[in-house]
Amino acid sequence: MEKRVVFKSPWLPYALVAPQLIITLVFFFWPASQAMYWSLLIQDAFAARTQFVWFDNFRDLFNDPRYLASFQITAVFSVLVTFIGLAVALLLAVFADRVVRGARVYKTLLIWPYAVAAAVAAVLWLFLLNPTLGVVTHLLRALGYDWNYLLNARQALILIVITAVWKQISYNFLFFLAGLQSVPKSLIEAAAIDGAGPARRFWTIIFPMLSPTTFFLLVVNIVYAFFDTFAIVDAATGGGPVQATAILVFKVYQDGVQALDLGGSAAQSVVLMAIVIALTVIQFRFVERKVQY
Amino acid sequence: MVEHRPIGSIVSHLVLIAGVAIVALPLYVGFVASTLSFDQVTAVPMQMTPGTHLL
Repeated sequence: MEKRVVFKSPWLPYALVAPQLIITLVFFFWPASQAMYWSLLIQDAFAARTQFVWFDNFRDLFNDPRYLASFQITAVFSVLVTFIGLAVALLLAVFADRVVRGARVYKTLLIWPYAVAAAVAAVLWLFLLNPTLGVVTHLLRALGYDWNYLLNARQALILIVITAVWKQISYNFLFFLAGLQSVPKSLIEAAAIDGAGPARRFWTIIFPMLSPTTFFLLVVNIVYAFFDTFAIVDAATGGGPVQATAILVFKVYQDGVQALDLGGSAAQSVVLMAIVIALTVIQFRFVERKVQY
Repeated sequence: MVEHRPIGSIVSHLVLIAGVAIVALPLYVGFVASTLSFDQVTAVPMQMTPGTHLL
């Protein structure tokens, strides 16, 4: 007997998947193919004349030291944001899962930043870390540390990493907490009876059982660090000082919208798309094997 | 929690309070800034208690 549900109608199944297909085609394949086509063209700044130049845009990009520097910045930035964001959220989730009294208060307070838009998050951190007006800057000055992200490239990177991590902690925290609560209590109690302390129980039972959650968050956080941090960079540093925080997605905007190099910008977005597709494939191919569902 | 260890419980609360303080600090400062006049916001250091200019 056929167990699957089979539609007898020749057109009904296609009609049912049509909405998703149309949305994917219109909002993903169409713009992506346009970007690929435009990456092979050069225009003048008013897009009045267009010339087909094959892969000249890509050759120019990879001969541009500033573009290669942007790669390095993006790599450092996304590794830091993903790693710190996951580590802090896991730490807080583990302790929030342990406490009984006041647990709901802690959870509520930790989820707040998720309701803040990325640009607003950047402005809130500027209140704290602005070189002249910032509250934390004042404390750092009092301690003898000179904080000025407008002049210091490393401090500018630290600022956008802090803001991006802060914004993402709530999301990671929620998923880790849900993952922790689905770990069977009987396993943990059995380990406790066998004499395993909290740290040993965490590393031998809880952490491996969390691996599907961790893997999912790893993928989401890397994509977040690559794309969704644009507003943070734009509002906090504007890519400065001297391009020190111009991550790839910000450079696409800078070169395309501000500098009107449409072909070069399209080539950058094609490269960016290829990187994210490659990263996701690598993660599903190699990291997912280590995940125990 | 499986065991009942008062020290573990205190450490958990301390870590959570520190986490909440760091996470909520920018929101609090943003709120306080929204209740201050322009002169008060641009003063160094900015005051840390809500003012009277919210409305």
